[in-house]
Amino acid sequence: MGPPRGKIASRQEKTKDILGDLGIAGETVSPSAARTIEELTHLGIIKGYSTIVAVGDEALVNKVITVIATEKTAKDVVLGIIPENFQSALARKIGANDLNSACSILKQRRLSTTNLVLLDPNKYFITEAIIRTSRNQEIYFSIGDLKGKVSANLITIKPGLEIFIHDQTLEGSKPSQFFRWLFGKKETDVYSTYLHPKKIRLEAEKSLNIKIAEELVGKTPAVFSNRSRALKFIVGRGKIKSKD
Amino acid sequence: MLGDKRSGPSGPGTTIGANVKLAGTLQDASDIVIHGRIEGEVISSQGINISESAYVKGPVSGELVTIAGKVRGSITATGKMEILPSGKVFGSITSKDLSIKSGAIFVGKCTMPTEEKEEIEEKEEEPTEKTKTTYEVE
Repeated sequence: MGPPRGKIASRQEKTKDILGDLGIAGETVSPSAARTIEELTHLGIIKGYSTIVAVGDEALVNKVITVIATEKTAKDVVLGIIPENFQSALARKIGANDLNSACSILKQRRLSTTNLVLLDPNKYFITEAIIRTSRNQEIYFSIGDLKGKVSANLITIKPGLEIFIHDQTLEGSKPSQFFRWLFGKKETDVYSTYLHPKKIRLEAEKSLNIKIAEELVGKTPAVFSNRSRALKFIVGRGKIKSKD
Repeated sequence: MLGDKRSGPSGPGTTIGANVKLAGTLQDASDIVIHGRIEGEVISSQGINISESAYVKGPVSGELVTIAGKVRGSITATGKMEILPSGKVFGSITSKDLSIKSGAIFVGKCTMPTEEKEEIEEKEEEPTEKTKTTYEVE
């Protein structure tokens, strides 16, 4: 769980109550000055817990995931998630609408596997990372022997290493976009790039920030790799994907 | 992409935007759409669409190949190949089903599948026989 403060503390109490009512028992820990989220997750794995539930925002969940994905002994550890924001990509990923449904999903314990992205050297994430600049930048990328150059201001990196590179300035000015919208004129978007490599290196002349859920997690140059089906996690009904 | 050897259709494929310049081999098991500029090989086991704004310098190999942009290099289509009116191809083409629209530019050699070639050879032999027969009558 995230650090207990004010509203968060009362929410944590509520979460514990709901989980207790559902008959889910376990040790509850929160990070403090003495113990970080990573250390607590590591301790949970050492203690032999088969399920670790991360309660908090995307940054917290990604920190827990990084430890589970890195530790060799955590191969069979299952991750449960109770997101902080139920409008987030994380909540959509597990199929939870509110706190009660997130707890019920844990009770039902339907397992699925998901791809992760590794941001070298040791940061894993389950949602998406964004590289955004106010103005266009020349961005260089390499995928094995393939070298590329693109002028862009937005790069989105999603699990499965799906990479969207977009140049918003080439879409035209706001008035021209408005008139296109007004007269229903649809133009093919030829300025977006979509790649799905196993590994990609991104670099810019100026170092660019890499953010996950608005939290700075790294800077370019950066190497992203796909970790296929690297994490077992608990999902809601209808969120289980077939093995194919 | 690039060594992604998943069989059958896998994901939405690769799209290269008009503002992208690439050098090297671009390979995908799924469709490839190119709006940008590539110097190198383009390989797909499905469709390759080279749009009007695209320029490819290097061999192109796919099942269904559609060209509206410019290609300098050989093109192999295991299925259908189409050069649209805005398309410009400078290089050899190998395809069993070829369509070149009016206005398109094609400078190079075209090779059709072996069965078709055999039929042509048979037809070429027929006049020789006839000539011989005619000669004997005389």
